[in-house]
Amino acid sequence: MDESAILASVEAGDRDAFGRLYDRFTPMLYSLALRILGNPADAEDVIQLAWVQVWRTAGRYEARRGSVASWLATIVRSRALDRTRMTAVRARAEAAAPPARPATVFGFEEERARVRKALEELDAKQRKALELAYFEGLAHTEVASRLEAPLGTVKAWIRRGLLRLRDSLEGEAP
Amino acid sequence: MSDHERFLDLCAAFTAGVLSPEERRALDEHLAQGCAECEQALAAFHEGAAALALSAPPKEPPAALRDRVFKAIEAEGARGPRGRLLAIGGWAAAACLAVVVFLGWQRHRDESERLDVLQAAGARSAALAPQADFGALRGRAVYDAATGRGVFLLENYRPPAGKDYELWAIRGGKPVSLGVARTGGSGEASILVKDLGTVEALAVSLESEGGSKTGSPTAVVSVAALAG
Repeated sequence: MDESAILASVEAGDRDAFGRLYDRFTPMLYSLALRILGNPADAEDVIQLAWVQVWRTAGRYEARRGSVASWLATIVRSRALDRTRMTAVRARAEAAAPPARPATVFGFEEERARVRKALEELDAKQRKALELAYFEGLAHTEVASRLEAPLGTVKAWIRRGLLRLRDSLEGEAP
Repeated sequence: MSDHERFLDLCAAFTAGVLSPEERRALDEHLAQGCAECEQALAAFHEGAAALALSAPPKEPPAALRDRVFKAIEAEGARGPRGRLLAIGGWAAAACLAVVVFLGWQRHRDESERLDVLQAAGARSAALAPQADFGALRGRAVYDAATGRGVFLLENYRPPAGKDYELWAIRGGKPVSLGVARTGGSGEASILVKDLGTVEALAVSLESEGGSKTGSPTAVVSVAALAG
């Protein structure tokens, strides 16, 4: 399915298209929100906010700036980090609950496996740097001091790590 | 080349959300001049970040959430989705490309500028205290004096039909309008306000549609005192 086309329909006010988008991406986005926020009530609020934002601003999506998945993930992450600051409840990543269902039911299972493998292949500190930045929204200086690593090293870890993760998804057959 | 490498580092840091304000300014200036390589890199880094999102432990969203979201969409009303103008802009002639690229970047930047304010070390934060009849409103105002930027985080702000909420800065005891706040049917919003200057308090008022006609707040619904 062409996700850009679905977004164009959503932008035109097509609720069915919106429903398809919702069904495809919400498990991934909800998991992301839960990973950042640590509790289902906040995660649900954030998902609702994010989808309303998508409904309002679908026309702002630009395919050449990235995939629909990355656009949606950016919105959810941003709303979720807002929420952690609003409620002063910091996500306790490690406290995230185990999978509710087998990954095969969940969707994106192939991509998920690739990402897991790519993350496992990273140096432990590099992986941690990415996670602290992405899920906890720490500033780069905080990441550096938390990991007792030089700032320049942290920057290099993040840059190389992001590309490595991107490549792990691009192995996908057309 | 090595100088440009620095910008690619900044693109990655921006995507991961770890860019400092000074670095952001540098990257901003660079991108505003138009840089295809950085634009491409930004897209690649965004994909990497989305991969990180996939690494979150999978959890099934509750079925009731779907109904909630659809109700919220209906509550958005007949206005429907916005942004058509920008979408058309995206397909416009090559001459417009630089402008469009900049607008795209601008939106990303606003998003992360909001996060900057919220996590600024010196930021002052105060609950938006609901006034007498508006106890259901929840919100918080955050103000970073170092950059003069503020963020309004609003919850449960649902204006009655034909009404709008308007944001205000109180400066030297006088209210200065910061514009109308659109929260939509969800009643929630996170609004970045730039160039606030020195403020003692931030406030929200209820106005007829389009905002106060008198230049002063009509009915103040919540206030956050930031000074002393």
